[in-house]
Amino acid sequence: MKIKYILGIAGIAGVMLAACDKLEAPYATIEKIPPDPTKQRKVLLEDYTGHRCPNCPAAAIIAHTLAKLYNPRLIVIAVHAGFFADPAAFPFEADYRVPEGVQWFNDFNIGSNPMGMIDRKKNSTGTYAVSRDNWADSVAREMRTEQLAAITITSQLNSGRAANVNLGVSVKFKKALEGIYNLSVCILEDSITSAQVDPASPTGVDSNYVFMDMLRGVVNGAYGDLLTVKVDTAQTYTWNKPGYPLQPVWKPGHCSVVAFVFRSDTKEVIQAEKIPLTH
Amino acid sequence: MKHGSSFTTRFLAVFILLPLLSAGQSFLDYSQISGNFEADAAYYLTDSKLGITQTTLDGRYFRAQGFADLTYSLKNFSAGMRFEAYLPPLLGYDMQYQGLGVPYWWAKYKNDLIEVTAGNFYEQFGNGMAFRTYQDWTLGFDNSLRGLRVKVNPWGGVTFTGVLGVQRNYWIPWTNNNRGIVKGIDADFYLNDLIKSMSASKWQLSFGGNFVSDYQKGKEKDLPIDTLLYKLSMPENVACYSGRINLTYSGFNLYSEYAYKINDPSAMNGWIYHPGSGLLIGASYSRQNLGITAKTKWLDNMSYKSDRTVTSNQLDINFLPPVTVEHTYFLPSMYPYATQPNGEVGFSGQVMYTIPRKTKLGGKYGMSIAVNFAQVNSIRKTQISDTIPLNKPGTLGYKTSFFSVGDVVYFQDANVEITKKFSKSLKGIFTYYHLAYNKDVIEGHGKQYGTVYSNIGVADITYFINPTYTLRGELQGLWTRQDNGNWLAGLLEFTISPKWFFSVSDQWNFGNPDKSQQIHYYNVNVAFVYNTTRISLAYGRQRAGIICVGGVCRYVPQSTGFTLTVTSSF
Repeated sequence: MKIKYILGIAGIAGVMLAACDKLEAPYATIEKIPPDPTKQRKVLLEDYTGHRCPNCPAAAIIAHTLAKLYNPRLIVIAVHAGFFADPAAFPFEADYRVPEGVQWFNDFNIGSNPMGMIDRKKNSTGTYAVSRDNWADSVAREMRTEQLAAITITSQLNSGRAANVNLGVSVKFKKALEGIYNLSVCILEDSITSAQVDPASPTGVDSNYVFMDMLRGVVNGAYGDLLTVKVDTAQTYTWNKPGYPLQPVWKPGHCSVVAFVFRSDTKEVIQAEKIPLTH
Repeated sequence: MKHGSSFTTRFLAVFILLPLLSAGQSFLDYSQISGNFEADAAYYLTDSKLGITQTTLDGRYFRAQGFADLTYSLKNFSAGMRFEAYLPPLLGYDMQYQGLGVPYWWAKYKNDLIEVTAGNFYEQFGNGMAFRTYQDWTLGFDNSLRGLRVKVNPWGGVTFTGVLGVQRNYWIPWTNNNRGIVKGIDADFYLNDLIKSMSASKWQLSFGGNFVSDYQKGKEKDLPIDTLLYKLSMPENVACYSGRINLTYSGFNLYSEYAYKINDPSAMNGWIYHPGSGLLIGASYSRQNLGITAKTKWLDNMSYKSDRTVTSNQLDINFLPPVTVEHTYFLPSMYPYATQPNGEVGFSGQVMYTIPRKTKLGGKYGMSIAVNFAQVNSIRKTQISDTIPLNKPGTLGYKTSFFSVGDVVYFQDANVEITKKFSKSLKGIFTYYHLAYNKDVIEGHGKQYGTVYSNIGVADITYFINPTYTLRGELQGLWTRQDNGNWLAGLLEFTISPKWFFSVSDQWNFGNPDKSQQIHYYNVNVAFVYNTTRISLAYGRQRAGIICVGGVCRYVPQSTGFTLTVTSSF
C-alpha cells in the first residue's frame, strides 16, 4: 500500500521536474513597430510621479520612449501626486500637485509612485494602476483597439498682462456607443527644470532635472463636462472655454492642450488628442 | 467592496450547518470549536506640526480593520475560516486590502498515513528559501495558497508534502491566469525515527529537499530598454529547489539550506536572466550559563514571486530568513534591516553568558551579558562583458562568484545587553547599540541619504512594588549626525495585575537640524484584560518609519489620533 504512495509521489515529482523553462540567449529582440498611418486611435498614459521618488525618472524614460515609438499615438500626462510629490525641505520646496491630479490618485487607488494608468482601463487584477514594467504591454494592447471617436482641439492664445487662452474641442463618434460620455481638457507644460531624486545622478539628486508633460491645470474639473447622454454618430459635439487664464509661471511656448473622451461610469478613455497651446 | 465567491459561501454554509444537521450526542461530544478575534480602529486627527491636514487624510478620519478566525474539529476532520474586514485599512496598510469577506477557508482530513487539506493553507518547506506561505497581521502580509495540500507519512520519520494552488493577492480573484499557479513537493527524513539503531542516539540527523515550480502565462513581454522597445522571452515555468540538513548533538546544533532558482526575469531583478541561489548556515551551542549562536547567509537574485511584475511584498513564494535581530525598543527599532533579495551576504553571532550568583560580578542574583554582532554587505557583481552594462535588462545581468562579498555595507549592528537583578523587587536591562543603516539601499532611495550611523543607549528598569503592582520605566537616547539627528525617548508603565495596564511615553527628536521638526511623539495608553480578552485604548502621535518582521517590511506614515485594539480568543 505504502509503495503505491511512494510511486505516486515519484510520479508527481517527475511531472514537476518537467515544469521548468530554462531559456538560452538571446533573451531579448528589438521589436519594430510598423508605422500605420491609417490608425488614428490615440492612447492616454497617465504617469503618477513625484519629485522625491527615486524610481520615477526611470518610469519617465519608459513613458518618453513609448511616446517616441508610437509618435503621435501615445499621449503622456505626468501627474504629480502621492507621498513622493509632497513638497519638502530644500531642494524640494516646489509644489507641482494639481487638486484634480490628487483626486485621481485617490479615486483610482494609485497607491504609490511611479504608477500609471493606460486609458483608465482596469487591468487583469481588477485595478486601474499599472506598474511601469507593464506599461509597454498595456499600451501595445490598447493601440490595437478600434478608434471609436475623433477629437479636434483648437487653441488661441491671448497674450497680454494676464495671458489666457480660448480653447475649443470638437468630438465626432465613429460608432453608436452605449453610455454617457464626458470630455476632460488639461494643460501640460514641458521643460520645467527643478530638483528630482535620481539614482542615476552622482549625488542622488538632480537639481536640474527636466520635467516633461507635467499636468499644470485641469480646465473643466476632475471628471470634465458632459458631452452626450446618447451618442449620435451624425453629430459633431463641441465644447468651448474662452479666456481660460494661464498661470504667470507657465511658459505658453512650452505648454500643450490635451483632451480626452471617456465613458462617465467606467471612466474608460476611448480617445485622446494633444496640440501645442500656441498652435 | 469585495466579498467572498459563491463557492466560499457554499463552503461556509456547509461549515455552519453540518453541526446542526448532525446533532447526535456523540457528535457533540467529539466536536470542538476554537477561534480568535482582533479589531483595530483608529480615529485620525489633523496635526499641523506633522503636516497632517484634511487633504492628506482624504476625509477618512475613521479607519478600522479586524479578523475572526474559527476552527472546527471532529475526530480526524477539521475545518476553518477567517473573516477579514478593512473599512478602510489603517494608515500604512495597503489600500488594496479595502473590503471585507472570507479570504481564508479550509477543510482537512488526517489519519496516521495521510493528511489532505483543501482550501487555503500555510506551509513551509525547510527554512522557506524555496517555499513558505504565512500570514502576519502586523505587517499586513498574507500569501496563503488556495488549492490542495497532501502530506504522507509512509514510515516513521519520513514525510512527503505536495502543494498546488494560487496565492492570495488582497481580494483579487484568480482569473485569466492573472497570477501564477504554484506547485511544490517536499521530502523530509528524520533518521532517528527512520533507523531503529539511531533512535536512542545523542546524534540527531534530519535532511530534506524540495522542488517548487510557478506557472505564469505569457511567453513574451514588451519592455523599453534605453530608447528601443524589446520583446523579451519569458519562462512560463520557473523552478526553484533546495536541500537542507539539520544535525544536533547534545547542546550543539548545525543547520543549513541551499536553494537554487532558474532564470526568472522580473520587475524585482530588473528583467535579467541570471539564475538565483542562496545558502543559509546556522550553528548554536549551549550549556549551563553559556549560549553561542552564529548564522551566515548568502543570497543572489532570490526573489521568487507568482507574479513577475510585482515589486511589493505581495505574492512572495519563498521566504529569505534574516540573520539580523529586530529590536523592540522605540529607538533601536527606528533602523531595522530589510532583506535585499537581489543580493546580500550576512553574518551574525551572539554570545550570552550568565555570571553565576554569589560571585563578585554576579552579586546575589547573578547577571547576564549578551554580546551581538551582525553585518550585511552587498555581493560582488561584475559586468558580463565590456559592452553590456551591469544589470542591463534582457541579459544575464551580471557575473558573481559563490559567497563573494561586495564593498557596500547595507547594515551593521553591534550591541551589548546586560540584565541584572538588583533585589527581589528591582531588575534592570541595560543595552548599548551601534547601528550602521544604509538608508538608501534598505528603504530604496537611490543615493539620497547614504548611511546613518547611530549610537543608542537603553535603560529598562522594572520595580515590583508587590505581586499586584509593577512599575517599569525606559530611558533611551539615540545619537547620530545623519538623518533626523538625535532622539530621546522615555516610557513609564504601571501594571495592576492581572487586569489593568497604563503607560505614557514620548519620543523627542530634539536633535533635528530643522527646528520646526523637533517634534514630540507622545503617547498615552490604557489596557484592560479579562480572561482571554484584551482591550487597549491609546492616544498620541505615531512617527513615520518602517516596521519589519523577519526582514519583510512596510512603511508606516506619521499620524496623530486615537487607536482602539480588541483581541480575544476561545
